[in-house]
Amino acid sequence: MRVLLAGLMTRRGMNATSLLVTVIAIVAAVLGPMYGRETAEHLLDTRLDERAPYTTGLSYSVASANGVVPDSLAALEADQAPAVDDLLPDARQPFQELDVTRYWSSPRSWALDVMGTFTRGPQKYAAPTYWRQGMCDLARITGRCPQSAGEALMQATMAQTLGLAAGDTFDVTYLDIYFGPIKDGTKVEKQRRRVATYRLTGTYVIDDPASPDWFDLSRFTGLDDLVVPPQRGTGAAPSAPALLVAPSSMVSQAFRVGVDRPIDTTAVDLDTLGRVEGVAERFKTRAIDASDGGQTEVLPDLDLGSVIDQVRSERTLLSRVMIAATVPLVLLTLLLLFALVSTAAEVRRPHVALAKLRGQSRAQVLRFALSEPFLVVLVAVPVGVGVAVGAAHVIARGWLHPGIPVGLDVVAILSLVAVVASALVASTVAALTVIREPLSAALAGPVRRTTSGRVSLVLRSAVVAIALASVGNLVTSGDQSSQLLALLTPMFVALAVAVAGALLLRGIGRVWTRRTASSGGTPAYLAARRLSRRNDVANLMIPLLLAAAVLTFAAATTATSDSWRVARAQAEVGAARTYVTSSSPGRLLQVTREVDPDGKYLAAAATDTIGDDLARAVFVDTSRLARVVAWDPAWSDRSLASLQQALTLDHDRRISFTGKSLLVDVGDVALRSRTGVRSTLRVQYVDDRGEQKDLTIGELRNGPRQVLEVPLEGCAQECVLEQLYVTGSSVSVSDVQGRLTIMSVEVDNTLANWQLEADAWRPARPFPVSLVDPPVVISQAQRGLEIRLYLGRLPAGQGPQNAQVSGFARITPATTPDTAPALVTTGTRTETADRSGSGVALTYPRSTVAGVSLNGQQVPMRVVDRVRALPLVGTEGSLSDLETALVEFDPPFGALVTTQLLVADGTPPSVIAAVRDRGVTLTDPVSLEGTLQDLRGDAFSLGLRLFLVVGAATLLIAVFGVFASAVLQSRWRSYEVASLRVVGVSQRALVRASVLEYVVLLGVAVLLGVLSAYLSLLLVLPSISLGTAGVHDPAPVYATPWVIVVGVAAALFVLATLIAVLVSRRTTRLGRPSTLRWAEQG
Amino acid sequence: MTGVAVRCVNVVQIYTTAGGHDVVALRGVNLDIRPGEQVALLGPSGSGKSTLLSLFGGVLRPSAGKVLLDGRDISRIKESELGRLRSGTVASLLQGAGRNLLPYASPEDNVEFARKAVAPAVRRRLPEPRRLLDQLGMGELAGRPLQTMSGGERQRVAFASAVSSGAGLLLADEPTSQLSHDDRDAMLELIHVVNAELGTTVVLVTHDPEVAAKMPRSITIRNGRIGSEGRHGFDFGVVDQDGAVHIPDDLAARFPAGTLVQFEETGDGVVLRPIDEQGERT
Repeated sequence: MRVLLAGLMTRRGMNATSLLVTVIAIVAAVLGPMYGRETAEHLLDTRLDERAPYTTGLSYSVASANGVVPDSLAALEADQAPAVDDLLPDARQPFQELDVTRYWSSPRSWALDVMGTFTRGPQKYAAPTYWRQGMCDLARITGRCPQSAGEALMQATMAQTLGLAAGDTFDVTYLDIYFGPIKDGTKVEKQRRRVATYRLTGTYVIDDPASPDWFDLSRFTGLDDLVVPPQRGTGAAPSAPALLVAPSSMVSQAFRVGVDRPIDTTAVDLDTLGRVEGVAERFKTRAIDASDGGQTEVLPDLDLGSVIDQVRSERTLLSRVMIAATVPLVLLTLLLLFALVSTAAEVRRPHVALAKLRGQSRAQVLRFALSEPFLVVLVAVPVGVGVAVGAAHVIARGWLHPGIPVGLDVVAILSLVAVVASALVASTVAALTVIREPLSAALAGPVRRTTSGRVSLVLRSAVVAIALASVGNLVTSGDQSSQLLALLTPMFVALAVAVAGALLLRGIGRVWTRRTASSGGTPAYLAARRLSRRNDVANLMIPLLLAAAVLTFAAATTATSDSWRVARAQAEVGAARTYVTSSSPGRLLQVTREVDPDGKYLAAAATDTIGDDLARAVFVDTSRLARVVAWDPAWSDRSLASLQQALTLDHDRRISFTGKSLLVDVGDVALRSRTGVRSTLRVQYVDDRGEQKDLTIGELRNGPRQVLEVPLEGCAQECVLEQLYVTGSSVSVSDVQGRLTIMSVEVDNTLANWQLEADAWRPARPFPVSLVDPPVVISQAQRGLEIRLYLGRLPAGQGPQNAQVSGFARITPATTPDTAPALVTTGTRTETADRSGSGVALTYPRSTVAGVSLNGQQVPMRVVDRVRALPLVGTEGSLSDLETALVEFDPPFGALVTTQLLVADGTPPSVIAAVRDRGVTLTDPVSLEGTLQDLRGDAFSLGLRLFLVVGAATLLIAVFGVFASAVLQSRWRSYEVASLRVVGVSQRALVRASVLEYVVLLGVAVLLGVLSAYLSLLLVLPSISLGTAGVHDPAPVYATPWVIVVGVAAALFVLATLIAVLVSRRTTRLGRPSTLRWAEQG
Repeated sequence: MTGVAVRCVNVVQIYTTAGGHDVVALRGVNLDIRPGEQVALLGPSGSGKSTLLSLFGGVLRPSAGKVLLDGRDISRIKESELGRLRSGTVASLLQGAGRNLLPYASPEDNVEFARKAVAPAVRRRLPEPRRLLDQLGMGELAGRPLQTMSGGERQRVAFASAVSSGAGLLLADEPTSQLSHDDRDAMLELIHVVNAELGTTVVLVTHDPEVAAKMPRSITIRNGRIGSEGRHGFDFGVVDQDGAVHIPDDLAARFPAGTLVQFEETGDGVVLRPIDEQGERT
């Protein structure tokens, strides 16, 4: 043991290096599976947390009346609603005798009545009453908890809005149903209005709506206000936050009593998934049985199976990535370890020969030769496992979901055993090569052996064959699911290239030697000669080449994946932050321009994502497109600034006015209507607040001249004219033909310059008959602007005569073009707008497409650019200017349009506060960063990031290994250097020769590594699954990221040069003439 | 253990160079060394003396002929038997002290390492490493690191390691090279002590005639053959199995290669006379 320890200490540098490499191999082998399992556990917990508690928890409820309607009013009055406590046993029934307590939290009882309503102004609101066990502890209460019937807590904002406080009363109306007297042999259902008065005991605020203790937030119906659903037209009734009441307040005909058990994420792990799934299924069956085919309410939401399926699928994916990531690392470390133990065995060669000379048996010699490397491995095991477990704990605590279990699982242990066995085998093989050497050869002196040519050839051929077969199989099979094989491709390619590269390099060395022998300088000749004679070229090249290939591939793949996620987030969110608002698009547009006049922070948008192709559209204030909107440069070959220029109209030329009254002088009115419709002249403008206003200027009467006057609303500062139009007294049907002339316009009795010239106006959309048939023709008359109307009937013989089509005859200033410039995605089907029309039809070039505007009407669109994706609509739809669209197409109430405030990165909070101060209600924002974080948290992203980290680790180890290997060899190389110095070669020439040799050797390795990565990227990058995309998510861009490839190559080349310089200086320093004497003395 | 008898019968040794050429190192050597005898092998570089020593130690196997130790032919025995032979019968002291020692181990540990292969029963009879070092006058060196020792001290430790197994045959390759006169004498003294006290047969290779002169018997190897033998201060020619005999160097100038000689028997020997092509004395 003393001798063993002394030997270890003497070769401490080499042994420490071996120890380090072995530890790294063990850490990689153990941490890989541990990280994989941790991440899978993390994903499980994250997925469970992500889901609403009611989709993973167990819940069962029973109805108080179970659909039974009293036979009469008397029966209704006599019926007493059952107490909540009486119904609870039924609600608990499906949970019994199941193993639910283990995986689901303790039960929480509740009762909910959604039948109540209250009225505020003209609006009727739903007023649910809700009791939940422990609710007063879960919510922040001001006042006291309701304890008896008729007491209630009101949500704080609602109370403020209604002006109520503790002690006030609040009426909720219920409609009781009963059967009236039988008429004609049938029961007639009747209703009785009943008012329940609640006395407020205080107010409540839900501070933590995400808490699983609340289980199903929809029972509140609203949390912070009397909320009108932000998406207008969805049909949902306005609702108010629930009143929190005592159980005894549940007295209506149709309240429900239930029990919830949210899932306990800490109790569920990968091992128990199957059991949890089984219990959930059994619960579901029991619940259905218990309900006896009746309503089970929340059971359809129990979706634990899909969570489990998702986690299992993600785990499989992670495992594949994990294997692909750790295999090159482990392989590399084992290669390095083999190189190191071979060097160590070489160093100990004389000592092994001495043992044989002293007659030690084969077993004794083997023990002597192996004790040192085995001890290193045995020391490395606890160290490596300790580091791996420690790192796993650090990762779990720092990066992953709290409470993730950390421990060695079977895969990690098997992996550890495999690596340790490989390390021991590598040590044994290295030792055996020395032990098997004949004693006479071993005693002959410090002459290094050459490797067996045949064995080497077979090994190299095998590597190349396996590599080519694997890559060929992947490429020809076209199997998109071969994630593991695809990620291993750079390793296979690198190994094949390394074998070929080593041969190539020796060939280059021989040619170079011949050339430099006659004409080159001494350093070049010495470098070329050494290069052509080295038999360890492959050993030195493989680590660096492999690491360069894996790192470059990993970096490029991760960059592609991340760019894709960024693009998806940009498409989904549309800006750094996006708020949904219930304000109108016009109002929001106005507010954003007031608050942010320079257009640095805010942009208003309106989106309609219901439908297909051009029915999906986003309308943005394009004047702020480049500064505010999120945009991936890969979406278009043109810059966003140039697209903005093409999309934005010059709204400075629009007609504006300020004043209190509008006077329009109309002449030559000659209108007729078969249906006797009385026509009115109306004006549409945008008021000071940005809201669109419609005013009737006056009814038109046939005659030579008519002055119409109307007071203006909201034009104290500046209003912008959008349209003048004629419609009937009833807006539903118009049948008006004829003409009129707008002679002049005055605002506040001052002549207004409304540019009453034919070319300054155009027909405004929507047209009632078709996309191309305006119901109005504008011409210049002597007295002013003449308008001919064809509402309900076109000129004879000029196109479709559809008198049934209602409509308006609108004109708008020509400052807003008839054809809106738009961006359309390449995945959107379009139809040209040049369809045949009437004699008055507008004609468009073939490139004009029939788009859809804000109110769902068709509009001709000029496609500025076909792009790959667009913010807020993704790969299908169009983007055009909001302000332009609003001129003609303000969405009516109920349109399926979402109004959104887009906010640029770095926007001060005061700007958002200013928007809110102007009365614009904003929801919680969706942020680009948050969405990106979610997208980066999926298994694909986590796996690829690990792949990158391991790639970087592989490179570090390779650099370290190559450096260590070169340093260890410097002792032998120093003999040659010493010999050359003795014969008069200068030290400077020797350093330069050595640097040149290593730079060429390692530089070629780096270049071939990067080349391998490039080849691998070409071969398999498109077949690697980067994640699960939605239907309208932009597709990944599989372009070779040259910046990364060149960057990695340059960085590695610098590293290679550094290694070359350091090793060369050391070798030359060691190669003194005295080195030769030292060598002779053994 | 008493000394081991060494016998060579027509030993021929051919080896192949790195360039693939066959080189004859020994050309039919016949030699008898009696148990307990002390023999020095002399000769110029490349004459084959170290090769002969390697054959005695079983490090090399002869291409032809036999090498017998105590009458046992070691030329064809198994490697494991050779190992056993090296563990207890033959002790080798390689040229250069460093090649005989583990540089990182103390003298005591080196001695212990050297006798590791000795059968336990035999080892129990051998002196403990420290005692052996004491006996050989190196007690004070037992725990010192080798790096701190002089060349002579290291050579003595190497010698102690070599003889620690109590082998009957000591093969020493240039044991006194690169040593000072005092160290050389001390080393020779050690060799004589071991020979005298244990009866160990000693075969050493040397370039140094002074060292050879201090050995009772010296054999000069020339061109792979035994050229001459020196005993008790006198040099003798040796007739080999074919009847060939080397002419001593000081007389060789009178007999250039190709010279015809006439043998003339006298009463107590044979006279060798050069003659010309006509048969006349030159």
